[in-house]
Amino acid sequence: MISIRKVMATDHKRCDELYAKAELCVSNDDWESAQKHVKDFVENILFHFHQEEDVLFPSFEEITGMRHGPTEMMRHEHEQMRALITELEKTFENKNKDRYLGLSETLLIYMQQHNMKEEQMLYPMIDEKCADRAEELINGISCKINNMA
Amino acid sequence: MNYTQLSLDQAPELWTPLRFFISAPLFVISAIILLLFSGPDVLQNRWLPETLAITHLITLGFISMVMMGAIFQLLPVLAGCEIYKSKNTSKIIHFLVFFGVTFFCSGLAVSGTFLMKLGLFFLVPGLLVFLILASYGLYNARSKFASTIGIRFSIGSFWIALLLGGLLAIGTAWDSISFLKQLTDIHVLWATLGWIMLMVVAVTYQVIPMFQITNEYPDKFKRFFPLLLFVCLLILSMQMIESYSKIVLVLIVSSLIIMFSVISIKLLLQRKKRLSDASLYFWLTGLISLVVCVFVFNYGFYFNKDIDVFIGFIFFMGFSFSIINGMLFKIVPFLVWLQLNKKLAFTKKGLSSVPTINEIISRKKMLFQYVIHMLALLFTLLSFLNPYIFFYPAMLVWLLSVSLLFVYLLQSVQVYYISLK
Repeated sequence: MISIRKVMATDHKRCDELYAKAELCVSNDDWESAQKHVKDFVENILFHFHQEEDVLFPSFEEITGMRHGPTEMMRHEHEQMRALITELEKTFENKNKDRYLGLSETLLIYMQQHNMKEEQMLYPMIDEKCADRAEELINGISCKINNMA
Repeated sequence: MNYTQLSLDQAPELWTPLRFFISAPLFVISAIILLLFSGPDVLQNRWLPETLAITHLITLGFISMVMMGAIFQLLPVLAGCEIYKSKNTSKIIHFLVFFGVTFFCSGLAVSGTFLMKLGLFFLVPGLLVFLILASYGLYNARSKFASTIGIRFSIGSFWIALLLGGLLAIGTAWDSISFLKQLTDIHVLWATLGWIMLMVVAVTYQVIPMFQITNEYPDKFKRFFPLLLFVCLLILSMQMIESYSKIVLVLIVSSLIIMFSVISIKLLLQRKKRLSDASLYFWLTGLISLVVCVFVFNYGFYFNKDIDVFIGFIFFMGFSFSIINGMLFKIVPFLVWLQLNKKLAFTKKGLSSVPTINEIISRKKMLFQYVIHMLALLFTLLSFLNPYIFFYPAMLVWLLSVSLLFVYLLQSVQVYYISLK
């Protein structure tokens, strides 16, 4: 049986690959191609946050009654990453290569620590607690992720 | 399941892991100074007092010190649990281990039983407190994934290594039990292939795919490697006591380690993050050293050659030190950034006032230190061939390499305090 964890972890990987493409273009001073890849990465990662904040987390919170637990921490980290992404876009507009690469490397480590926690703990918890609604949740997320891809 | 105790905060207080990371290079610098005073003969015999002191300065003072700091940082992220009252317990553990290693290794170097006893008085309680708290944290850990399993086996191995090492050290310091070579070999086995190797493996499972954007490790390999290695170490320990033939077990353990290294190198070479940095080169250097180490060990084992110091050098400096050095260049700037971001990003100063991790330690500095590290490895290899020419240059290059690491880590902390002003 496919799990929410697997679907969401696969989406993390997809976003990581988009990140790598954008980083490579900027490091090669290929600003024209970078335009598309940075946009792709930013759109996809923000969309991933929305999937979690609008679909997964509310279901988990509703079933467990926990609104100030792990989901609150994840939402807080999303906010931190959104701020970094905004800064990253500004830096990209200014074509400041060193600052961009510094920010993107920082974002990568932050993002991966965040992903680790989701994949190792939160998603398995959602799989466990939302088992009855898993199909509905996965269909909703997969459909939107496929549209984005 | 009680989720309210789940700790998903990724930021323990800055100095909780940092005190371990920052002080660790000091022990390697001490080891190099001791090597410079002892001269090239140290490379020939693992039983010399100086060799024992140098080995423990590197393994306890550097490798274990960093790995203990990493546990404080990693448990919340990987396993959803934290070390009990980490802010205070980290201070106590660090204090005890820092002075324990200092006195114990000084005692080993000069064969002074008073210093050794004093060292053990600090060291054994320090390591015990760490192990009890780490084991308690892992007992409560929610994650059932491969990394957490690996860390559990690694901590289990550290218990065994400490028990045996403690017995040997107490026996030597109080002259109460006769020196048992087999017991020493079993202690070394659990400290190296158990505690160090399993911890590196557990961290690698997460860090390589995530930070270098690679495919995942094969699921079954990832899951069974720590268990298999741990069981092999148990059987090997028994065989050492009974002096049975170890050929099959050595072959299995060697194959496992080679498989791990080859899979890791393959993943790194196929990484999607094409922008390379010093951390990547440190990983590759460490993993290639591990492969070399296995071959050299097998050569010594089958042809009955006394090359223990050489094997130790490749394992500790080529494999463990390289990987830890590279990881410190990622972790320490990130910790500084994380705390600055927490304190400054949502103030008037804003996110733009927070230096990025590349501004905390620049890519050029890290690459430069990597080149010096490689030179140090090369010169030390040459000094095993011709100690009288290469030994002292090798030690001087090591001194430069480790001092640079220490200075760069200190500069990261300096950036933190300057940015807060």
